[in-house]
Amino acid sequence: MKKEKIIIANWKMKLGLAETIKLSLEMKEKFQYLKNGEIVVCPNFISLLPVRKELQGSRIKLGAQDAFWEARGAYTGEISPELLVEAGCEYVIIGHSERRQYLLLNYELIHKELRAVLDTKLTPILCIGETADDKKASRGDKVIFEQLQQALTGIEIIDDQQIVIAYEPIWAIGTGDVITPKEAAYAHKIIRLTINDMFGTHIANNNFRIVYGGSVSAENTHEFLNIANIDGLLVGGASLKADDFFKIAKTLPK
Amino acid sequence: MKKQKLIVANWKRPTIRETEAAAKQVREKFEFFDKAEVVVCPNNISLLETARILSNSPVKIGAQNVYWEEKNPCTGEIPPSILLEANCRYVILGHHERRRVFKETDEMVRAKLTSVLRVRDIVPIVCIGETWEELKNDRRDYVLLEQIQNILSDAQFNDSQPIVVNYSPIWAIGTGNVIDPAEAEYAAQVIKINLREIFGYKLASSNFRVIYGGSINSENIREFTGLQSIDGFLVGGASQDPDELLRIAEAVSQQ
Repeated sequence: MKKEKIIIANWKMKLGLAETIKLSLEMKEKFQYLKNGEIVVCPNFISLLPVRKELQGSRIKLGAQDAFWEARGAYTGEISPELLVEAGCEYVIIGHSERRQYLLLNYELIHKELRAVLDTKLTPILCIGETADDKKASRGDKVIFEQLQQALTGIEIIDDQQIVIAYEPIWAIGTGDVITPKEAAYAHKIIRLTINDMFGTHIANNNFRIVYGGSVSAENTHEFLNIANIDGLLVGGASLKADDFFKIAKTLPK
Repeated sequence: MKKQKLIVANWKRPTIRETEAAAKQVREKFEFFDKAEVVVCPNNISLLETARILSNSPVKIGAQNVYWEEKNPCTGEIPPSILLEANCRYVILGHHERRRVFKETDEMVRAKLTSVLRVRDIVPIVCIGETWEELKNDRRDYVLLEQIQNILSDAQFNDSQPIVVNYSPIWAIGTGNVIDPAEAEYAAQVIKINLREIFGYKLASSNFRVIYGGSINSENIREFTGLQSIDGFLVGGASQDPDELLRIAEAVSQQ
């Protein structure tokens, strides 16, 4: 089975509410005639419902930027996967590097989040990637392998449940250090082999997509999208302008 | 000046539909309510819709959490500027569930407070309180002092910026363990003495309100309403029922 490529916009907390709505409308307009590829936008929690409303009748799908691991119980300030489903989300980003860095999220908790998400019909976008220190010490491979092991061990993939793995090399985000296509290809191969090993090639091929994220722009997109084992892109900064994001999406192979 | 009592409903996270239904009931039941200040804090997804439903109501909107940075983004978080745009007038900081589950520290709560005070129009509700072990080892006064020092001591705010300190003894939240009212009064006094030490009598009494939170409901509220040092209540579970919230609010305002 050949899976559709996927392009995910992570708007983070860079846009206010009015700006978020405006961008959603521009995206809806721009993407009307783009027929290939799966397009997902992830606004902040507060904007989810209005964005869903604006995107009605569009093929752009809705995603959230985080989810809490418990379906029930009182956790002030948190959003459960069930609430995201109710809000119309189809995707959710799990374990983004910023949350690992600033909020001390670790893979034990990411594993719990993933389990909670897989109990619903949401598709998780699981983020992994090594730091600059990991790279310097040449332990990037090992870190990627361990993150996947910690997040995914014991997870049962049922039927057509989809999982997206987002590879974000932390050292290539906002540092000016650019990853070469060769390095990206190598990392994605490690990820693919690890998933093959954990779940068998059948599930690895049918249920997993691996996307690349990290300083993706309209200029460098084509370099990444043609690499084997790269099934799409997670786009940060360049997803904040409808034009830029559309240019990126247009480079998807037909 | 005698300040109005404050009642903060922490709705935590029922579904979007339940939250909307509750907001509509609150709008009706509190239409002419002016005897106390009432704030409801829905989950973030329901924030805009709740604000819309309550737009002409005396009931105000609060958020349950906020992020401490405006500039460096953190995926999944909400900065104060977006809360303001969503018409939030209050925000809960450092709720003990977040301290326990996310290891939120006093340092993080202080950073959140700083960023909230910077936007001016949002009133922070700073949660502090001791654990069961700390209470049993007679360390409560010290723990409260330390939390106030860590979080509030270098807060920058102007004369007209209110701050709420919520005393929630951790052993009394969601456990059904109710604190002896005299104990709550004592803890509130300790908090006020510390605030006076840091900010002086004038600011401590004009800008600060000290509220109590922990297993409050319409049955036990009357034991707390007469207490001198307690300026309001943070209500968790019981606040999700609008009738119950109204009963609590009426009991508070009858004092």
